[in-house]
Amino acid sequence: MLRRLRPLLFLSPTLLILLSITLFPLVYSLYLASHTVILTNPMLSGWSLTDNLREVFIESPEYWESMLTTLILVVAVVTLEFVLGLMLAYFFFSNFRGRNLIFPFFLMPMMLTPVVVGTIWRFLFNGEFGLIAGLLKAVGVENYSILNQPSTALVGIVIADVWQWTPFMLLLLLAGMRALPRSPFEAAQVDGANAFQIFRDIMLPMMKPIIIIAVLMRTIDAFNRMFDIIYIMTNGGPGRASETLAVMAFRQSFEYFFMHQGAIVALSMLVIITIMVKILNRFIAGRKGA
Amino acid sequence: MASIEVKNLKKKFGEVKVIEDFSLTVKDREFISLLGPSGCGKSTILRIVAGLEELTSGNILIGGKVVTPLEPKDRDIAMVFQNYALYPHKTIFENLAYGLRIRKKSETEITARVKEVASLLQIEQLLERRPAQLSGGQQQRVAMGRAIMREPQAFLFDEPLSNLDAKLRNHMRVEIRQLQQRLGITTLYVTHDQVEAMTMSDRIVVLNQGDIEQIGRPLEIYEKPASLFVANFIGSPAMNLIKVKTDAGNVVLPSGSPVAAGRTLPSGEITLGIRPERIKLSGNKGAQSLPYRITLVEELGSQKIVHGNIEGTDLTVVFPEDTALPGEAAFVDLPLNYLHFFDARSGKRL
Ligand SMILES: Nc1ncnc2c1ncn2[C@@H]1O[C@H](COP(=O)(O)OP(=O)(O)OP(=O)(O)O)[C@@H](O)[C@H]1O
Ligand SMILES: [Mg+2]
Repeated sequence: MLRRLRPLLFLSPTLLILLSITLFPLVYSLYLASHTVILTNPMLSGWSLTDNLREVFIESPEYWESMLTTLILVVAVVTLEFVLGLMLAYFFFSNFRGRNLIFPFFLMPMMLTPVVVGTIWRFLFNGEFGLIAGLLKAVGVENYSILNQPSTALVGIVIADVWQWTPFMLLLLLAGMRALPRSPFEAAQVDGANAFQIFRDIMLPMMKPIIIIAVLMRTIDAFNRMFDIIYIMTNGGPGRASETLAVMAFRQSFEYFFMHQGAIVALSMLVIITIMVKILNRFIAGRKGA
Repeated sequence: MASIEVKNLKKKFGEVKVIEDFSLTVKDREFISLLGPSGCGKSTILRIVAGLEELTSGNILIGGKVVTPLEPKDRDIAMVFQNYALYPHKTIFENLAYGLRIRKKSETEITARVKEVASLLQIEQLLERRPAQLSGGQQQRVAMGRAIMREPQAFLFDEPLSNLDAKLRNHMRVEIRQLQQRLGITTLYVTHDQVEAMTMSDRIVVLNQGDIEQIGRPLEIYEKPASLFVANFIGSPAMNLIKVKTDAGNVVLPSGSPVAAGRTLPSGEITLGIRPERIKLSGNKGAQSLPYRITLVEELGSQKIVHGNIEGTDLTVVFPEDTALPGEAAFVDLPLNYLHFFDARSGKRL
């Protein structure tokens, strides 16, 4: 008996830490989601799961507005990052002088923390002293910042996110390109294909598995990461123009102190991400099987 | 159709010289094999002819036209790669069709041509599959099929049979040769398998470290190897090569026994060569016979390969299967007209 417990004994510190940082928050947010927890009004309490769900999903449009904002942002950034990443990967795939010298510069944005990236771009877009406002001033537009307009705030965020995460696509796609067997390319050359035809008919189809994985990974990441850059650049504003699900979860919990609503939004994201990860895993397993 | 001319080809990879000065003309409709050991530069030459590799200096002409600066797609050649190089994501049908699709042929023309080629190579039932679902031999036939889909000016083959089992290889050898003769397409064929080279080629080019050792018809190369290297490389089991000294119309084996040379030879160190299948082994001592001690017999079914020595000098003999081997008292005769002599230092035939 003691023998069988001994391994557990040695594992227990690690297990305790793991449980306290993974299981506890989950259980606690389940508790929050199913009760009324309003920090500004501690008198209200008790089980209220159905009321909470109705409040978030049915009674107010905010959740669905944020869902739409999130989807728009995710689709926009993933599409742009994929297209740009693919172009850059193709560019770096060919051998040219100085390639190894300039390549690291293209990876740098990825290595910065999103808070720094957000700050950089907030300053660049700043209407009074930002670089871009300065350029606009030269052509006669005063105090303009795309982050201040509800219609264009998302564009600014897309630009910042694309700047930071295109390198990730570049890295994955370039690795995928480099791993392709060389001989089908040579066969296509002999078959008479030109560079564009080889790219379209040979390279892209052969990269399909890695493209799917890269896009899925980036989609999952963008979906749950649509927070830090936005929090810094616009804090979801102006108004709710750039309030994604992640920002909404944060604001509900820590600005309005409706902890239960924030928890429900966060848990709904967890469900969506879990499904996406399942899909991703299936693709990765399928690739191994092929 | 067209000839292939390679003129004064030089190729360096960085500082490493792979091909020093290589010239060769493959005549219209001719089948030439490049034969040589691994790493001697066969693939490099083929890839330079195809335009897949840049050359350091020299010129390539196809059909009398200089193609040196042209890309592979503009050379109108077809190539079968050593590893097949099929398009992994395309069906066999699309693998075959791609060259014609590039050339914007009509769908009906493509389908008809694919059917035709597939039936020629007996792969009709595979057209819907992908390369990964095919055996090596089937993939090889698809690679062949892709090459003959359009009728190019020239075929280039890079060891296309090296991954096949012996039986399939023998079969494909005949098929490739028949196909080439039927279509009459100039062919450059790389191999390190002497049997392939001997049986398929109009002429063989024997390569050694990027240099041509000999060019000739298969039997010419077998019967009159131009150098020690060729003598050693062609024939299985390999030719017996014995270092001997000359002495007035005779050569003297290391043991001191004289062997009639039948001709005058320069004095000094030379190498005597004789093919194992030309040696007469028997239990009867003739006038020129040498005593032979058998040490090991390999049974191949069709023949025996006998290893042994003449007074300490190793000698391999091929012996017919249906005849009983002599016992202790064995003798060998080395027929005069099958003796080869080489300068021991330069390796050149004397
Ligand atoms: N890209 C390269 N860079 C440097 N050296 C190379 C390169 N390709 C080939 N070589 C060298 O050139 C020589 C000839 O290579 P090649 O592939 O032509 O040999 P081969 O005769 O086809 O051999 P095998 O029968 O093994 O295929 C070899 O010594 C090889 O190491
Ligand atoms: Mg080779």
